[in-house]
This record gives sequence, C-alpha cells and structure tokens, in this order.
Amino acid sequence: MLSFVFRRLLYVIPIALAVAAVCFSLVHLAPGDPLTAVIPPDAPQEVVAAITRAYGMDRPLVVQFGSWLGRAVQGDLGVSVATGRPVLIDIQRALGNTLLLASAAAVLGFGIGILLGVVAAVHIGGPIDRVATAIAITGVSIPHYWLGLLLVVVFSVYLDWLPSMGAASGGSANWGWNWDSLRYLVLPAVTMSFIPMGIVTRTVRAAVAEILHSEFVMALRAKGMGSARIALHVGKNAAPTIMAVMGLQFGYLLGGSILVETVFSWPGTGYLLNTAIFQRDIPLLQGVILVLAMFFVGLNLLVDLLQSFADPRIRRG
Amino acid sequence: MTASNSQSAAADSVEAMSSVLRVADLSVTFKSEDGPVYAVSDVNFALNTGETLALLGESGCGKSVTLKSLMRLHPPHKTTLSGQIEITGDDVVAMSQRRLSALRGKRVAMIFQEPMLAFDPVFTIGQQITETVRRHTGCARARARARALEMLEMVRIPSAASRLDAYPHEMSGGMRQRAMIALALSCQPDLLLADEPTTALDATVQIQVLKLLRELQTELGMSMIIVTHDVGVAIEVADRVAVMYAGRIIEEGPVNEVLSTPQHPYTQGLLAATVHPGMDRAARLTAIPGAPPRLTRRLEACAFAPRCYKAGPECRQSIPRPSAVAPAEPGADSSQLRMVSCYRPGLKEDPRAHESNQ
Ligand SMILES: Nc1ncnc2c1ncn2[C@@H]1O[C@H](COP(=O)(O)OP(=O)(O)O)[C@@H](O)[C@H]1O
Ligand code: SF4
Ligand SMILES: [Mg+2]
Repeated sequence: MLSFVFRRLLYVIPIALAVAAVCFSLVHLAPGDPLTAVIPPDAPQEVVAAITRAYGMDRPLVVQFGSWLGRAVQGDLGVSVATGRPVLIDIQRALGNTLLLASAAAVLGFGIGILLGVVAAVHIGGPIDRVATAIAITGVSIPHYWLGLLLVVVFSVYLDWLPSMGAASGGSANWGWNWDSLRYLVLPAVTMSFIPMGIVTRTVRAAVAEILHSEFVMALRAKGMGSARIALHVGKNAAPTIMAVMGLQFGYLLGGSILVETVFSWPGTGYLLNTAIFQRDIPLLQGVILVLAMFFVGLNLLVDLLQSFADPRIRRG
Repeated sequence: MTASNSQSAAADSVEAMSSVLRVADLSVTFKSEDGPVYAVSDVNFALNTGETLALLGESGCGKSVTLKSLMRLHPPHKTTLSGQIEITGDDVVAMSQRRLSALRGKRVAMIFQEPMLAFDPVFTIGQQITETVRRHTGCARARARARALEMLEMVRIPSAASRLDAYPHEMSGGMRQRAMIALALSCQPDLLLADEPTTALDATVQIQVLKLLRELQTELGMSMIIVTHDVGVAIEVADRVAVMYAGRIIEEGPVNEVLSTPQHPYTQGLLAATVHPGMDRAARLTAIPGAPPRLTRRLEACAFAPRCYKAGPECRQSIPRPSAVAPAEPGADSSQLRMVSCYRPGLKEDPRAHESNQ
C-alpha cells in the first residue's frame, strides 16, 4: 500500500512537468506577438527591443521555460501586462471564488446525482428509473448559460428573491458564512450543478445496477446479510468508478465555466481567463492555466489514492 | 452434535423425524421480456439428515433455479414460486423476510459454481467469513475472526492465518473454493447447497475439493444437495440422484441403482453420451438427438418425446406422472425409493429390436 502511494506520488513529477511545458508553449504557439498588448504599434525599434529584453523574450524558449518554471515553483507567476500587479494575487482571489462556487455546485450536483442514481439502479427498468434518467438527461443537455439566464429572470427579475450578479454585496473580499453572502451563491451554484448532477446520476445508476446484478450480491443474500450490509458492499465496489467521474467533474467545475461566471459576473477563474484572453495578458493567462492544470493533476492523484483504498486490485498495477 | 443421534434415527427408518428438507410440487416461473419462463415444474423430493442428493441434468434444465428457490433467492417481483418447501419443519415459502435472512447462511448455506464471482472482490476472505459469523452469532470481532481462521484450517488452506487477510484475487481457484466452503460451513448449517462446486476447477483440484466436501459432510453430519451436469461427480459424492429434464425431475433413486439400471430414456441417453465411472468400455459415446425444449411454453406432453426413441401416442397427450419402480431389495426404506416419470419405463432395449416390434 505505502509503496503504491509512493510510486503514485513519483508519477506526478513528470506529469506536472509536461503540463507546465504545455501551458508555457501554448501561449507561444498562439498567433501574434505576445507583446503587442504592451507595445504601441508606432513604437520605435529600440523601444521594442528594450521591452522584449525586459520581458526576457529575446532568449531561447528552453531558457525562458526554465526560468519561468523556476520562478513559478517559488510562487512568482510574473506581473500582469495589463494591470502591473503580480499575477498570483489575482489568481488567488479568483481561485478562492471559483473553489467556493465549484464546491457548492459539487455538493448539490453530486449529492442529488448519487441519490437519483442509487434510486434508479434499485428500481431499474421501472417508472422511478425512467423519471430519474429523464432528470439526468435534462441536466446534461440543458445549455448552461440558458439555464443561468432563465434562473435570473425567474428568481431575480420576476420574483426578486435572489441577486443576479457578483459574489457578495461588498465585493468578493467581504464574503462570509452568512445569508447575505450565501444568497449570491445560490443561482450560479444551482446552474453549475446540473451537468455534474446528470453525469453522476448516470454513472451511479450504471455502476450500482451492474453490481446489484453480480453473483456476489446473491451470495451475500445467501449468507443472510441484511440490506444495510449489502449496501456497504455495493458502495465499496461502486466507489472507484464514481470517484473517478466525480474527480473529473470537480476538475471541470474548478476550471470555472466562463459562460456561467460571465452570466452571473462571478469573479472566478473562468472570468479571469476570459479577461486574460481578451486583454492578451500572457503572464496572467499562463498563470491561470498553470494553476488550474496543477489542481487537475492534484485532483487526479487524490482520486487515484482514494480508489486504491477502496479496491485492492488497483494497488497491484 | 445431534447428527449421530438423528442418523441412527434414520436407520430406524422413521422418516418424519430425520427429514431435513421436504419439497412438494415446487414450480418456479420467471417473468421475462419474452413472456413467462417455466423454469421448474412440479418438483418433489425429500432429504434425510446426513444424506447427499445430486441434481443431475444438462445445462438449462432448471437445477440452479431449483436450488436457489430452496432459499427463495430469486428476485420476488420477477418470480412466481408455488408449492411447499420445508426445511427442518419450517415453511420456507411462507416465511417472513426477517426469518428467511436468519435462516440463510445459518441453517442452509450455499456454495457457488465460480468462487471468483461469489466473493466480493474488495473485501478480504477473512472479512467475508467474519461478517457471516457475526451476523448469525452476534459474537465479537475477535471471536469471529478466530472462528474464520479455524474454518480455513478445517478446509486445509495452507498458512491459513495469512490467508485471512488475502483478497479473493490473490488466491488460486482451488483455494478460493475451499475458502467458499469454509464460509458456507462457518455457522454449521444443517443443509449445504452446492451449485456445480467443482465445474470451474481443474480436474485434479476437482477431485480434492469433492473429497473434502464429502469428508466434511460426514464429519459435521450435514445434508447436502449438489447440482451437477457431470455423472462422475454424482457417483463420487451422492447417495441419491434426481435427474432433471426441462424443469422436472424425471427419475430419482439411489445413485448406484439409477446409474446402473436407468429406467428413463433420458437418463439412458445422458449416460450413453458422457464418460463416467462404471460405463461399458466397449460402448461408444452417442449424443441424444435434438435439443431440450425451450421453457417459454407450458408443455402438455412429455418434454422428452421429440427426442425419445420409444415415444408413443400417449407421450404426446399428457405429462407422465412419477411412479415407483420396484425396489431392488425387498424391505428397503424410504431412502431406497425409486421413481420414474415415463409411460414406457424400462431398461434400454436394442433400438433395432424395438423398431422391428412396431
Ligand atoms: N432470472 C431468470 N429469468 C428468466 N429465466 C431464467 C432465469 N434464471 C434461469 N432462467 C431460465 O431457467 C432455465 C433453467 O436455468 P438453470 O436452473 O440455471 O439451469 P441449470 O440446470 O443449467 O442450472 C433456463 O432456461 C434459464 O434460461
Ligand atoms: S414418456 Fe414417452 S416420450 Fe417421454 S420419455 Fe417416456 S417413453 Fe419417452
Ligand atoms: Mg446451473
């Protein structure tokens, strides 16, 4: 077990390096000169050269990557071309907001998804199953932004129950565990929970139904086990599949939906990414992508480790 | 415990006293997408303490369904079960779910064909035996674990203590089946149901496991039903054999008698088609022509008629009822009873002689 954890941790190093390299080069592969945002079109040749040198863009790519990575590891993601602020500050704030939104959406989506999935699997083929499956399909196929707008129209404009924009009345910095802040979370979290809810429902339904039909469940009944004990066995068997899907879904939620965050003006990573792209703010773009990608890598690691606790067969590989 | 007492009771030929299981008019019908499946029809048999019955027949004839219905393991909403099942005097058909689950694993235990599938892959062997012991005795974890170890030793698993913490995939097929036997016997059941327990194993391992089963059965004074399609297995372990065809028992009796002097054309065909101990070495294997009927229709005739070499008009009009075959020795007790369901029972004649008779 320990050796598995250790090996799995070692694998992370090359993966993280590769991810960083992709992040770095993506920006250089993009069309146009990354410095066009800061250099006026009519700047003299010397000024252009000076700025290029100041940003270190005259050096070979490998060297640029090395020094960028070296600084990134120490938490220095560079300075925003647009604002002049350290990129890390903006990323931290946005990531905090997105984490909050993603967690709320995950709790909602995963909770309802697991419940619906289990109920559907137990009654597979029956009317309850059909209702649950219909809900799941609806959740996956409704367009995000459309649902967001619908909720805003109904609950903000028409009923005036919930705010439609922002993270909290005094800005996201004032966020706290009180209703005044929480009510800002409701609409975007509900909007974002629909896709993970649908996907988790379908995954849980398929996994649990398959396990319920396996021979060992009959063997459990044949030795007199009650439903609680059988549920424990089914749960532990279904866990690896369900955790893998939930990990992936949480990753997507963290990436922050640009559309949802834009609809609700939620100051998260999606919003920030959007800003960085439109302003051609290369250091910011690189920073956001790198941090998100590392979260993804970390999340994958966590899922793998949790899976191996549930299923001994995974530990061998 | 009381096994030796009741065995001697059986010797006194008091049937009711020593009966572990009584099945009367058992029928099992499944609902399926293509309509009903009449998997088991009008099955009758009884089992005395310490006795082993083999349910013998080709694949798909209803052996497993019969066995599982003895514990009412089929999903209730898709299954219609009728008839009587009595285990040590208790009515299983009318039993509440609660009493049923107390009976399962305690008084009746089951061994499955493929132990790899019958064990939960993500729990250790020890955990799976322990949970059974705790469920039925309510004893402490440590006590149950000690019992699990004792059981692994009883089925002669080498270095049993370390095997307690092994997962099913870490054991060989033979060891897994031994562990399954250990699990099944951990609460000292009166009746052991074994569904093709050696079919998935290599030939040499098969014999070891069968020997182990027989030994433990004698030691613990249990009764056993073993489902098999293999005549050799039936001869090896069973006292009596019930031959099934198309969901019905068509011949039943002491294993030696039924297999040496089969009365039913199907039993004769089965023996002629398979290699088994005690067969005529000069005889060549001959398959029964045709295939078993599908069970999606309720039959009004002998199900074997389309394949039978001596079928007559009466065979196609109604289902033959079971009738007694004269016992080989006069004064034999109930365990010597021989039944056959056929309008024209009797030892196999030379088919050519039969043809010229018609
Ligand atoms: N759950 C079920 N639903 C519908 N048909 C079934 C079910 N289980 C078994 N059957 C059918 O019942 C018949 C007997 O099956 P089974 O008892 O498993 O045969 P075997 O003698 O090989 O053990 C087969 O035709 C099988 O297809
Ligand atoms: S009843 Fe008739 S058809 Fe059926 S086995 Fe006997 S002789 Fe053959
Ligand atoms: Mg079978």
